Amino acid sequence: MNEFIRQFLIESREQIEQATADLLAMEETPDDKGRLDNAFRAFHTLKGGAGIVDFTAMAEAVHAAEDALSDARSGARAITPVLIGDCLRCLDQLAQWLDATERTGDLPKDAEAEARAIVARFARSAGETSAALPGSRPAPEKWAEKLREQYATLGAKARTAIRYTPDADCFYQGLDPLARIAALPGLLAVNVEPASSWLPLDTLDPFACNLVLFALTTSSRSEVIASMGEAVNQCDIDGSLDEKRLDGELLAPAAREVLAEQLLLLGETRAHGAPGRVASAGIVAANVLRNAGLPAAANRIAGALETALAGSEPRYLKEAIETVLGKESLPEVVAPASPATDQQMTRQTLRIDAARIDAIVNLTGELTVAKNSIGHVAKLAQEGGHPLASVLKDRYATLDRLVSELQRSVVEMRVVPLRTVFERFPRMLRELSADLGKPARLVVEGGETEADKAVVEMLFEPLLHVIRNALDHGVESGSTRAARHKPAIATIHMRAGREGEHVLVEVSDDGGGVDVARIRQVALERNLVDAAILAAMSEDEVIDMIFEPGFSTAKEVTGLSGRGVGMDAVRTAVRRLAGEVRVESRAAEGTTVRFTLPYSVMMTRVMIVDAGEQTFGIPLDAVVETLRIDVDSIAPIGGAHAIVLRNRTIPLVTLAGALGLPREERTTAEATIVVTKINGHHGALRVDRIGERMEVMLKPLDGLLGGMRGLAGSTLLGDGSVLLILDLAEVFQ
Amino acid sequence: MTVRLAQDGTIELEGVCPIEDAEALQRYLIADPQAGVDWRSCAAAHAALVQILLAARSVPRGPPASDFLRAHIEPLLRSRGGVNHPGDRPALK
Repeated sequence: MNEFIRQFLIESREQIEQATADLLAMEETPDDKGRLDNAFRAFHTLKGGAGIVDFTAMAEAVHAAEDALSDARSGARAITPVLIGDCLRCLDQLAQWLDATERTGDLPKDAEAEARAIVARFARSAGETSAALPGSRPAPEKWAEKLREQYATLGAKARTAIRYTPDADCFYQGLDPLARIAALPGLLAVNVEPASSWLPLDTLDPFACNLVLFALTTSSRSEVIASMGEAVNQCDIDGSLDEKRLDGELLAPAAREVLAEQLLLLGETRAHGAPGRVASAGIVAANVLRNAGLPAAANRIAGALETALAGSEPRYLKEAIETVLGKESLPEVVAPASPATDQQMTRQTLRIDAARIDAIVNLTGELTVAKNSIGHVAKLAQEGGHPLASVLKDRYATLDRLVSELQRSVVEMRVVPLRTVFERFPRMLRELSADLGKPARLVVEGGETEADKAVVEMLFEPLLHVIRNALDHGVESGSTRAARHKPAIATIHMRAGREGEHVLVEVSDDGGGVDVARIRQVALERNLVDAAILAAMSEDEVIDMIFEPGFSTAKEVTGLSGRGVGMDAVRTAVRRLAGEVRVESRAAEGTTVRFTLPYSVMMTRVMIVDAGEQTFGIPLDAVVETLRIDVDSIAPIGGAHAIVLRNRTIPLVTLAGALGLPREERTTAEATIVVTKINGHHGALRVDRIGERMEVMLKPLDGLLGGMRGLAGSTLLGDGSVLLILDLAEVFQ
Repeated sequence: MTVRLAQDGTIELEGVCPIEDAEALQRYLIADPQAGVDWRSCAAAHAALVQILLAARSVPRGPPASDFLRAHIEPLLRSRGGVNHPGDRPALK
C-alpha cells in the first residue's frame, strides 16, 4: 500500500469519527451551529483526501453530503433526522470503502454505483420537508393504486409511479413539466389531468400551469429521483409497485441484518422446536418491517408465516423474507452486517502519543548503561577478590527496575481509550431505536478510560449484544413506560472507569428489568437445571443463567430475542481476556450489565502451587486467602467435598483430582487450601504445596492445548520451563 | 412561428413548439372552436400547449412527429377529445 493511501486511511477514519460525533450531536441539538460547522468541515476534509488519492466515487458521495450540509448552514435546508441519517449512511459507506482499501491495499474499483446511490439519496431528501424517520414511508397512496389499475396491462413492468404537481407559475420559471416526464427513463405510461377543473378556453390563462402529471416507469425510485432533478420537490413517488427491490433499498442496515438473522434461524429448522423458531422468525421479521414503515411487506410476511405454520413448511416464510431483502442483495446483507468486526480485524495501526515513545527511547538508553555496568561486574569477577554478591545484587536491582519500566511502557503503547469503541454506539443505538420503534438515547461516560487495545476491541461485540438486549427486552413499550411514569425516551447509560488493575464497563437501562420468572420457566423448559435446584436458586443466580450456553437458543423460541447470538457468547468473549460479566436487575427499574476487565491483558500476577507432582499458576486476583486445615474438617457431601470456613460452607476441589493427575497419598494431618472467589462464588482448592507469587506474561494456549479445559494459558518461567496457568472457573465447574 | 393558421383554417403545429405558442394556439381555438389542429409535423410541444389542447378538448390530426407525443399524449387527447377535425382521418402510420 502506498504511503499516500496509508495516510488517507488514517485521516479519513478520524474525520469519519469526528463527523459521526458531530452529526449525532446535531440530532440532539439541531441549533448547535458549531457542531454543524464541524461536521461540514469534516466532510470537506474527507472530500479533499479523496481528491488527493484520486478516489472519484468517494469525492462525489462526500460532495453530495457536503452540499447538503452547506445548505443546512445557509438555512436553505432544515436539519432533519432524514438529512442526518443520509449523512451517517454516507459515512458508513465511506468506512466500508476504507476497510476494503485496507484489505486489498487499493482503492475499491466498483464504488461508482454506491456513490450514485448516496448522491440520489441526498437529492431525494432535498425534496422532503417532513421530518419523517429515515427508512419510513407512507403506505401506497390512492392515486398510485388508481394509476396502477388504469394501466393494469403493464403489470409488473411498472415499478415506480410518479405524481408530479408543478407549481402554477412553473411556466414562468422556464420549466416544461411535460419534458421532465418525457425524459424519465423507462417511461411506460403518462396521464395528464387538470389540477383544478378546466376553465372555458377564453378565460384560461395559458401561462398558468393547471396540470397534474402522472407516470409509470420501469426505473427504480432512485433513478426517478435522479431524473426529476429539482422538480422532485413537486413529486410524489410511489415505489410500492416495486416493493421487492424497494423494501430492500429502504431498510436500514440494522433492519436488514435482523432479517438476515431470521433467515439463518430458519435455515436450522430441523432442530428441536422448529415451529417455535419459525413463528419467532416470522414475527420478528414482520415487526421489523412494520417499524420500518413497510406495512405491506410486513403483512406479506405475516401471511407467509401462517402458510408456513399451517403446512409445517418454513420454506414459505424463508422465501418471503428473501423476497423482501431481494435475493441478489443477500450476500451484501451478510457482508456489511459485521462492519465493525471487519474494522477490528483490519485496523492494525496504532496512533501512539509521542511522549510514550520518548519514554521508551530514554529507557533503552538507561538499559544500555545497565548492560555496560554488568560488563564491568563481569570484569571484576574475572579479576577476583571483590565481594561480587552485593555488586551483582545492586546491578540486578537496577536492571529489574528498568525492565519493569520498559515492560510498562510497552504495555502502555497498546493502551487506547475506550472512547474508540464507545463512539460507535450512539450511532448504532440510533438505528436500533428506529428499527425497534423504541425511542432511546445513549449517555456515554468515562470514554477517556484506557485499556489494552485487545480489551477495548474485544468489547465491541459484547457491548453491542448488551445494548441490543437492553433496547429489545429491557426497554418497555411506550404504553408500559407511560403507565410506570417513565420518560417516553429510554436512557441507556454506558459508563467506564478504572478500578485498580481493572477496567469496569457498565451498561444500564431504565427498562423493565430482567424477567426472572420467565428465565425460570425457560430454564426448566430447556432442561438447563434441575427443578429442585432451580427452586433453591437466589434471584441473582437465576438471572446469571442467561449466560448459560443453550439459554440463548431458548430465547429465540420464546421470542425474547431476534438475535441468534446469546449472552453466553458475551461471557465467553469476556472471559477469554480474563474478564467477567454480571447482570444486576431490578424489576420495573432497569438492568445493569457490568463488565470487569483487566487493564492490560499482558501481565498477570500468579501464585505458584504444586499438585500431583506438577507446578501450576493460579491467577492471584482469584485468590482470597491460603490456609492449612485439619484433614478431618473436610466433610464429604454427596460425591463431593466441602469445608466450613467462618460459618460458610465452601465446596472443595482437590486440584490433582480435578486435573486427572496422580494423587499424592501423603498421610498428612493437614491439608493446604487456597480459597478462591470466582464470579462471586467461593471455592476451596486443595493443593500439595503453595509456592511464590510472580508477575507473568500470560499467553493464551493454542494448538493441541487450546481446547483443554481448566487451563487459561501458559508462561515461561525463569528456568525456561513452562508454567501452565489454571482457569479456576473451569476447574470448579 | 411554429403555430400557424393554414389556408383551410387548420391550426398547424410544426417542429419544436415553445411555450410562447400556447397563447397563439389558444387565440386560434377561441376564434374558431371548430378549427382542427394538425400536429403531424410537431416534434415537441410544451406542456402549456398540451394544456390548451386538453382544455379545448381538441383532438389534433396525427400522428405527431414525436414518439413521446404519439405514444403518451395523443391517446390522452383522444380519450378526452370531443371536437374533431372535420376531415379527420385515421392516423397514417
